[in-house]
Amino acid sequence: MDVVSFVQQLTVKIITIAWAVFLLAWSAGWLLKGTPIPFPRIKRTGQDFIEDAVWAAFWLAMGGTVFALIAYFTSNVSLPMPQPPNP
Amino acid sequence: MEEWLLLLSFHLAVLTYYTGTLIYALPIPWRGIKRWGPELIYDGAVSAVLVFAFTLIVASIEYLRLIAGGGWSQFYSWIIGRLGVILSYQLLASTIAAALSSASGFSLGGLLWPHLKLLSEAAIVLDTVVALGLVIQHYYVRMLAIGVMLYAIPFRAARTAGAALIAFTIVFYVALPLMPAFVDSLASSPIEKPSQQELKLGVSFAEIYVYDSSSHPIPGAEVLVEENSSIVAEYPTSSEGIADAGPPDNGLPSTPYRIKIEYSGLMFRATPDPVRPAVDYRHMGGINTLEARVPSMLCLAGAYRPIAISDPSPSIVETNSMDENGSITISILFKTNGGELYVTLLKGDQLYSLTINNTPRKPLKTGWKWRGIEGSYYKITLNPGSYTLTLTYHAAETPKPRLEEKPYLTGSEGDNIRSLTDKVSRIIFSWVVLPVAYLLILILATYSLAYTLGGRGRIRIPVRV
Repeated sequence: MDVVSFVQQLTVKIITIAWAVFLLAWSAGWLLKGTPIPFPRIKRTGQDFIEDAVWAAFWLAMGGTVFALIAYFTSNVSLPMPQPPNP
Repeated sequence: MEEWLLLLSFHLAVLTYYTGTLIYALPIPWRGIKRWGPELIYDGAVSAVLVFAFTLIVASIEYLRLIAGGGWSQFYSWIIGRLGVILSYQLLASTIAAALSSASGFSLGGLLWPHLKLLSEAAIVLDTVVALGLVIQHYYVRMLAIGVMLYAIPFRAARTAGAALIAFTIVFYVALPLMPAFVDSLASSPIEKPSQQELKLGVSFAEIYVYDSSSHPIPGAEVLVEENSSIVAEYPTSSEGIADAGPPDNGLPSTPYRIKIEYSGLMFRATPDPVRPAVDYRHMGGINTLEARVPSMLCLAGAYRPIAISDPSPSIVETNSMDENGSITISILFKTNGGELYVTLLKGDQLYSLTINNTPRKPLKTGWKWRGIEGSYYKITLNPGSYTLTLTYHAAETPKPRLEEKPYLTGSEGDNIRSLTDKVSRIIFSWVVLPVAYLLILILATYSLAYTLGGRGRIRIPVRV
């Protein structure tokens, strides 16, 4: 196994774990937010967990799109350049 | 190789990105760790931009180099030309050092070691610049790819190194070929190679003992040293017939050369012909000596009154000389393969009789002038055979010719050293100080660009932390 396939496999594992962590964070967030206790800080933490989990899921889902957009824009920018001026 | 590096960089960028999302999603209220999430997402995206824009970056820096006007071939020609000049001056310094060492008998030539060392250092600097140029010119694409790969490693582990490598490649590829323009614009005036006259390809030293065919020394002669068909030095002989071509100022070529003897308006070739310093010099008491013989001349009749024969190797059998009341009689028994016999007398001398094989001759008299003295010679044509020449004359007072000394080494050593010191200083300023200053400027530019590319602290991105 070369380095590239190792990194690829690692990425796949990270993506799987990230989705699992998203579910966990989203659940934990709602759990904390919905707890019937009079501690606003804990409820606020639950809210933060939910927001972070949603943002993370957004970027996780957009990963392929982000890289495709980057590839698209950079390949469009690299048009042939004009000849340099002759001194 | 570059493709593989870019593939690896892309996968590292993807890994960085998704690691960022994983950290972003972590259900822990610890900001220090969670801050890494958006930063890694940003780093992954930037690394991906670098990977996908790799061809664009390579094309851009090539384009920038062309706009800046830096040409690699001109750059190498410029440096190789300067290396040639430095080598010439090293040769010149070595020649002067050898001259000084020979002159003193011990290492006075060491005085010039600083010059040689400085010239070597200048050559090392230029060689290093050439090596740097070769590496950058041939490996800049690979260096960029390695830089991008380092840049893409997660958690910014080698981001600074990657940014530095990318910046180094860009700055040096674009700006290093401009070094000649930078140096030439600041250096005061171009430094030329030492002239052929300055740059003697080696020097040898010797005392030249000049003898006639009967091993009599020839005083007051002018010894002409001929190298490559041109006279490169002149030395007069002393009253003992010795021409001083010794150290430190005089010198002789170290390659084979010929010796001509100018005497009383006549020119003679001396043997050995040619003189090969390695073979013909004798080493006596720390001084080289050379025995130069003129086989076609006899110096029996006194100073500046040579008897010469155009036969290059007459065989002198017996000579005799008598001096009675100012009247000198000379008799010479010799064999010849034929030629012209010249009997030379000075102005004021009176020829009483000239006989060949006891037959009186009345030869043609021709006047001559040579270096301030005057005289006449009598020319007799001889067939091959044995002859006895008898000559009786009255010798007038002998004048002194104006002999000159033109040393092989031009000028004095002191002049050469001063000139060399001046040139070495200019070489050091132009080809060591200025290139090193230019490299420092490029290094500082590299540092700034690397700082811009990735050396900063944490970068804010438009995602919520």
